[in-house]
Amino acid sequence: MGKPKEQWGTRIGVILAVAGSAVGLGNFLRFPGQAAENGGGAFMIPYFCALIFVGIPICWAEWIMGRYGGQKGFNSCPAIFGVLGRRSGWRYMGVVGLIIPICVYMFYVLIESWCLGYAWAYLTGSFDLGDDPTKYVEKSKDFYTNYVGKAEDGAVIGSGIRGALVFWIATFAINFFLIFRGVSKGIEAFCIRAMPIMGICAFIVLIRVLTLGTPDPAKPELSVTNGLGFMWNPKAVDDDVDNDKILNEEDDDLDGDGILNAQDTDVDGDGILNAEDPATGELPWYFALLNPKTWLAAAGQIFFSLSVGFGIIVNYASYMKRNDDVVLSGLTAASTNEFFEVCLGGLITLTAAFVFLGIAGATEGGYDLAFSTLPVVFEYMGGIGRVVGFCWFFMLFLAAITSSMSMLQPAIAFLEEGLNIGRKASVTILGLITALGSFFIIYHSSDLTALNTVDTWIGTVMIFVLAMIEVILFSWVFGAEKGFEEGNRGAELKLPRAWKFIIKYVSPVFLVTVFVSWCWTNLGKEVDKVLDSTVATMAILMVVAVLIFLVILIHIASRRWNGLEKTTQSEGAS
Amino acid sequence: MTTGGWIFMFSSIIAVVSLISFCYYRVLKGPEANRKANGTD
Repeated sequence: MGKPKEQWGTRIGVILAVAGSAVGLGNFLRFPGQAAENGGGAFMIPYFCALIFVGIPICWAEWIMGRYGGQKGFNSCPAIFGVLGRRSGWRYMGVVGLIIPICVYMFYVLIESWCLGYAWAYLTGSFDLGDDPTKYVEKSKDFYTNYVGKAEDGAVIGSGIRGALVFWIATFAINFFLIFRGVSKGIEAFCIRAMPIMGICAFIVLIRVLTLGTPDPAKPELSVTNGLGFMWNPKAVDDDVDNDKILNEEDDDLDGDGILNAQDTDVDGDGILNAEDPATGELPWYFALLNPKTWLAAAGQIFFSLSVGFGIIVNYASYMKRNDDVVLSGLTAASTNEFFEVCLGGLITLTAAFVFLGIAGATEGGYDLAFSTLPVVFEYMGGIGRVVGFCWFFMLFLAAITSSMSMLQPAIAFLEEGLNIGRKASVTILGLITALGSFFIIYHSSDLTALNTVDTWIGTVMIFVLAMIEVILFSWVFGAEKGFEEGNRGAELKLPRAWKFIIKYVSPVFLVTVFVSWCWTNLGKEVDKVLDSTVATMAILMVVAVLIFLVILIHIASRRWNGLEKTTQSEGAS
Repeated sequence: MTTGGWIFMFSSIIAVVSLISFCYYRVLKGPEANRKANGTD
C-alpha cells in the first residue's frame, strides 16, 4: 500500500496542529456560558472528571488509531477503520469521519469570515457605533444583523459585492491555499506561528479586561470582581424543567418569585415538590453536583472542546512516524486546549460583558455574544477598545482557521489515497463541494436557519455517532489490550493501566448516556424544526446528497484497495 | 465574587497551568529535543 506520502516535520508541530484544531470559538464562547449556567465554579468538578475519565482517554484512542493506520499506509478514516476492523464493511462506517469535517467546514468557514471581517473593521477603524452610548446596543445589533444577513435570505449576496461576501471568499481562499501546501509546509508551518500569536492576542484582551476595575462609579456592582463572580461563584443549578429558559407551569418556582433561581429546585430529585425541597433560602453550591444536568453539560463541553469524534485527530496522527510518542503528545495538545478554555476563555468573555452590560449582556449566548454584545463592550472601552476589539476578533479568526484547515485534510487524504489522484485534483474536488455547500448556507442566512441546522445535525449529533463507532471499533474490535501495547510503543509517558477499562466500559457508557439524554430532551424539537422549515429540510437534503456521494467514492476506493491487497498477497506468495 | 468563587477559579487555573507546564517541560526536554540539540536528528 506504500508509505505515508506526508509526515509532520516536528513533534511540536503536530501538537500545535492538533491543539489548533481543538481550540476554536467554543473555548471562548461556549465554555463560559455553560459554566455560568451549570453551577459556576462547581461546574469545574464534573468538568475535570469528564476530562480525566472521558476526554483524554478517547483522545489517546484516536491518536493510537491514527498512527497505526498511518503505518499501514493510510491517512483517512474509511481506510483506517478498514485496517483496524479487518473487514471492508468498517470502511463504510468511516464515511462519518468524512461527512463531519466537510459539512462543519461549510458553515464554520462562514463564521470564520465574520471574525476576519470584524477584525479588519477594527483595524481600519470602519467599525463605528457613534457617540451616543445609549444607542450602542441597538447599532451593534443592527450592524451584526446586516453583516450576516439575518434579516432575509440572500441579503449577503443580493445587493452587489458586500464585505461579508468578500471576506468569505478570502477566508475560503486562505484555507485552500494552506491545505494545498500540504501537512508540513501548510498546516504545521501555519499552526506553529498562529498559536503563539493567538495566545498573545488573548493575553492583551485578558489584561485589559482584568484591569477595567469599576468603569461606571454610579454602578459599583458592575465591577471586574463581580464579573468574575458571575461565572465562577459556585451555585446550585436552576431547575428549568423543560429547558426553555422561561418559567412556566412545567417548571418549579418554589419561592413564587416568577424567576427560576437556586431556591426553585427539586432537591431530592423525586420529581415532586415536598418538605425536603426547601422553598426559601439559598441552596448550598454542592447541590449542583447532585443534578445530572451539570454532569451532562460538563461532559458535553469536554467532548466538543477537545474535537473528539471529528475524525481529525485520527487523520493528523496518521502522519506520525512508527515510534513517535502519542501519549505525551496527545496530553500536551489536550492541555493546550484546556489552557485556552479555562485560563483565557473562562476569564475574558463573560467578565467583559458583565462589567459594562450587567447580567443581561453576560447571558447573551453564542454568536450574539461575540458579534453583537462584545463590540458594545469594546466601544465603552474608548480609544483602546479598537485595539482590544481587533485582538479579540483576530484571535477568534486564528482559532477558527486552525480548526477549519483541519476539517479539510481528512477528505483531501481520502480523495488522494482512495481515488489515487493528486493533491491538485483532490483540492479542486473538495473545493467545489464545500464551496457549493457553504454558498447554500451563506445564501440562506435568514435567522441563520441553514447554519444552525447543519450545526445541530452534523456538529452535534454526528460527532457522538462517530465517537461511538471509534470507541467500539478500537476497544472491542481492534482490542483494548492491543491498543494499549500500540499506544505505549515509543511513549515518553506510559498509558495508565486503568485506561484499558475506561476505554472499554466507561467511555461507551458515557457516550450512550449523553447521546440518549440529548435525544430525549431535544430530538423531537429538532426534527420538528427541520420539518417546519423548507430551508432546514433543504439543508438536510444537501447533507444527505454529500453522504451518498461519499459512500459511492468509498465503494470505488474499497474496490481499489481490495485489488491492491490481492496484488500484494500474490506478489508475496510468488 | 465569593470566597468559593476565588477558590474554584484559582484552583482550576493552577490545575490547568500545572498540567500544561508538565507536558511542555517533558516535550521540550524529551528525546526528540535532545537529538535536535545534539545535532543527531
